[in-house]
Amino acid sequence: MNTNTNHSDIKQNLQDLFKPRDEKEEIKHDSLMLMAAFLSEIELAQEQQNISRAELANKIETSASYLTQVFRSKKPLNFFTLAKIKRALNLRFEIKAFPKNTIADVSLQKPIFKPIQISEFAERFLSFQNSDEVPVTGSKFFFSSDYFETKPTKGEEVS
Amino acid sequence: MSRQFNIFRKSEDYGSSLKRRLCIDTDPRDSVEIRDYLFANKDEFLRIAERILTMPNMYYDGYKLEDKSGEHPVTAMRFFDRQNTRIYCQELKNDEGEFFIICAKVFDKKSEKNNKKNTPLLKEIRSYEYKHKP
Repeated sequence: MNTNTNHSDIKQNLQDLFKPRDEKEEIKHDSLMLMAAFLSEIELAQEQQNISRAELANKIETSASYLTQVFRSKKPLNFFTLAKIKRALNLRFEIKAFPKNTIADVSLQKPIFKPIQISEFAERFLSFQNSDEVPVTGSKFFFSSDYFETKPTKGEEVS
Repeated sequence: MSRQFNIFRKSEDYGSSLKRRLCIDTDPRDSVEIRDYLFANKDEFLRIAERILTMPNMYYDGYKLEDKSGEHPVTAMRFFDRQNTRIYCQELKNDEGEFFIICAKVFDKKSEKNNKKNTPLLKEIRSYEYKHKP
């Protein structure tokens, strides 16, 4: 039990909350944060497509209360459910891994998907490939502004 | 009402390039109550803290906007325990691009909708004028 009431002691107490715990607890926390990374993207897509949780639940043939428990980390998000959500919202996830203890550059600009016909996509890809000026890599091509528009995310980034 | 706050966790602590800061109001009674609640609900709090400090889309079931009518929005960390406890926070930003989430009050919210008890509290927190106390 903490009994200190001085504000600098309280600040120190709160910093102590973040000290490493035993490995089992840390792994559980990490697993829920991995889940949260997917859920955060799903919520953003729902917002952009104006799809409520109940509508999403209906699309993947589950209950809204089950999804709420998943979104509140009370139930695990399994990959089967994730795949159903991916199809329901027409999403493509990109996974990146970085060595720990490096600074990850988190973009504050969230891409908004602009649908494109496969034929147009192929035509543009070939024109990029045949271009002498721009040596386009696959990732640059996929994130070209021709294919995505960006808007600021909610919160502090909007000024 | 003029109040002060301390920073106790930053986005950079997780290796994130965001500039969010998790803070606590220095009011003796509120800060002790918040600290004791966070210690008693450490696992849940650590998840909320990491999520709001590292993920671009920071609002979700565990951290929601409650009142955005004023200059500084009031938000709630939601713990979904038996008392439906919330920690009300004020959000503010400075000219250096830092974004502060200041934990101000613990509140046991029995019902889902805002009611007679928490509406004045939200208004009160909205009115706090915070200054950073290093």
